[in-house]
Amino acid sequence: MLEHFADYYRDRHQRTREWKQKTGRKVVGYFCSNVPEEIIHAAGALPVRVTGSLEPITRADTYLQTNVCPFARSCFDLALRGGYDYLDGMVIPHTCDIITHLYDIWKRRVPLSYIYFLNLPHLVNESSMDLFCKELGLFRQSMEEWTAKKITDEVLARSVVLYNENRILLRELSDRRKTSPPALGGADFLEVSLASAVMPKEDHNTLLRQELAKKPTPSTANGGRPRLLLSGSMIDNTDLPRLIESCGVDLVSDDLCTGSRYYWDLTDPSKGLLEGLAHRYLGKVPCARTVSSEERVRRILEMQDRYEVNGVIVYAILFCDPHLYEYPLLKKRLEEAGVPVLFLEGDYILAAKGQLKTRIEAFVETIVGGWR
Amino acid sequence: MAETKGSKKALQVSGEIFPMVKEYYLKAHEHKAQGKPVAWCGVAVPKELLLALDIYAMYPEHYSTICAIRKTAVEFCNYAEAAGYSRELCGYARTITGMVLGGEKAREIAPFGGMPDPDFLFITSCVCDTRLKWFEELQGHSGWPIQYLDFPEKLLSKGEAYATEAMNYYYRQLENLLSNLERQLGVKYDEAKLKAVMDRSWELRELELEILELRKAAPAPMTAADGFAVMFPRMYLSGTEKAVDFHRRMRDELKAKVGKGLGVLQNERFRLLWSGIPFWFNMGLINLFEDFGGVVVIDVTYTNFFRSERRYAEEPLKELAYRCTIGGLGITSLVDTNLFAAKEYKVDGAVLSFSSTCRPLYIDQLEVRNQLKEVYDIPSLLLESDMADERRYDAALVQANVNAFMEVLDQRLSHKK
Repeated sequence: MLEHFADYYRDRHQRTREWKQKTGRKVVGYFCSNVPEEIIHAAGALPVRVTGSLEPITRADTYLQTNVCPFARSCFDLALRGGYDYLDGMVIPHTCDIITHLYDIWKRRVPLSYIYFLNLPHLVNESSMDLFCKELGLFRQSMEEWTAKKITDEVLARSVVLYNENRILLRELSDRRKTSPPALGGADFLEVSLASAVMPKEDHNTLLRQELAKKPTPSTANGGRPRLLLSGSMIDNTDLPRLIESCGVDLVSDDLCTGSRYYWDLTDPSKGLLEGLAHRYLGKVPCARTVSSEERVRRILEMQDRYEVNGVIVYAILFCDPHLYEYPLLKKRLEEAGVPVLFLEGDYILAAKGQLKTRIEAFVETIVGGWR
Repeated sequence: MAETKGSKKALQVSGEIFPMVKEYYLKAHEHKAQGKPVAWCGVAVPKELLLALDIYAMYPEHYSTICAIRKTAVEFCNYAEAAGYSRELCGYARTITGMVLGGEKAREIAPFGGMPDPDFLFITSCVCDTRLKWFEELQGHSGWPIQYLDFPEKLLSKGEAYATEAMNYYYRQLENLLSNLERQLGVKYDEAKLKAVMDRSWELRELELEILELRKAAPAPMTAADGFAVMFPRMYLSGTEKAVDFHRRMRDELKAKVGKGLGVLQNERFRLLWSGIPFWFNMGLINLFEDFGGVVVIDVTYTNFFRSERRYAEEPLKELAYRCTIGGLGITSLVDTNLFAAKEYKVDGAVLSFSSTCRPLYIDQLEVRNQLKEVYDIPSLLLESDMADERRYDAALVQANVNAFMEVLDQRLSHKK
């Protein structure tokens, strides 16, 4: 069953085109995990997370320097080459500086009938929640104007329920990694999570329920392997998780925007529709772009406890300012809590796999050595 | 040009800047010694409020340019990198974080004896988001209290409804800030004082706009070398009588020069704009173009070409919120600002300094190049380095690129004839 998720994600562009042709509905791309997809879904459109590709950059060099986030360059390059020709609209949030500035360049060079800049505060407090809630109201209004269709509270409430269900199911699947050995690999789980961000949620929920109805398959791996958590900036394919797992470890948890930062927190409908969404998307497990590095450490330690993690690998894409800034103190705080940390920096396409593997293996040795 | 060097200024008033800067840093130590509060601030904080509260504002970004000029930035960066900060991070951030982490050893070589330890850190996300992380990290290392001021982006493209909400959000944050500072530092908010500061700041803004008009003259009466130097009173002393007085005299000097048709070069062959943070350790680069008959007539990055539409003169805190959000924006896009400046200042070419560790300001730089070419057929020269860390500067390559660019301009001029 897991291969259904992997297959969909691998063929996501073609599958989205097919969905669009079949339903006649609109597709709206978005960056990052801070865009309330529920509003897009309630408008009748399919929200699809924009991801990059491992193909060489050919067109983006004319517009974006080489020392800009390679993930952003890859996404933009793919769009310029027509890889996102099925998008009808785009939502670009104020997350990091690069994604924020990509708004103007994307608008100019990849014309779409709808492109919305979603302003996301950096602070998490009552005042910023209030502003973000107002922004979501304007976002909803803008989707209504574009689709020429009102988004009723009833329809939005149903979308909220659907998305919460997806998160609950993903958590349940993730918890299959609590066992020793885990009943599910980290790379496999990430593929499920990645698929969630590009598939119709209804279909993803159906596949998840089917998967969860099956008894967990006993792992062929030995128990007692080091259990690691992968934290970091954008990872939209399984190359790095598979590389890590090839070093004799179990990847049992993550702090990734395509992983737990995407699905972990639920929307609380008792707060009100837009207020609930504002609290969920601004107050969820923070990315480094949000001012709350202590909260991020707290959440990682919660995951460490839940999944009995022995060590953390922190991965930053080259030139990823928020994560590169946060790393030294993140490392210090985790190590003060007794958690060994390995820092890896990659170029998004993992050109230096050999070097990364050597460093991971050495890290694993130190963890295992610590047990002896 | 094998060595880096300081710039040559065209205006007499520019000669006042270094003593002004030195005095500012030395007075900071006096202020602190008297037990008065000091804040380390991001460049775009509402400085007028700090002035009205008698809080001495230090600007780490500015201080790191001093470190670059005084050649201590590299050593400070080394301390930061040793602590795990990537060399790809902002040169300003590495300089200052490194200086803090370097402790006494760093303080021994810090220009002007360093900056006095702050009573609080004060940072806004206006200009870039990464500064929030920078200061958050500084707080984590130092334990100094911190105040954040969140700045919503792209207000011009968001429409009036959102822009008004954003301004209100900013205002609520100012109220909260005042309350925190009164509680933590015992400072007292005096509305009349802030009003007086805002009036002077408005007068400064009017003078600045006059100066920007005068800079359009041909031959150009001043260069971007002057522009970057005189930035200090405008950016950091806004609201003071000193800044107003300086700009009055600067305006008068420019008026006199323009009235007599005096320029940096009487035989001005090319007019250039400079977009981007200069390489502070080699400001002499700006004058290099004069060897070819070129004058860098306008510097775009730190310049706001537009006036606020209105005042809230009797409500100074509201006016501050307005000016810091909707009112101060003008054209917010770097591309549009450069297109505007290229047309208004009749430039023949653009120098786009590209600081490889300042991604927020430079992500648009290739599009600036593209749009200047597509819209006005203006060629651009891209020069890459770091703004403070001179390890990334390749003097020979820069010279070669400048030579080649000026040849291009020369050929274009010949074809026009």
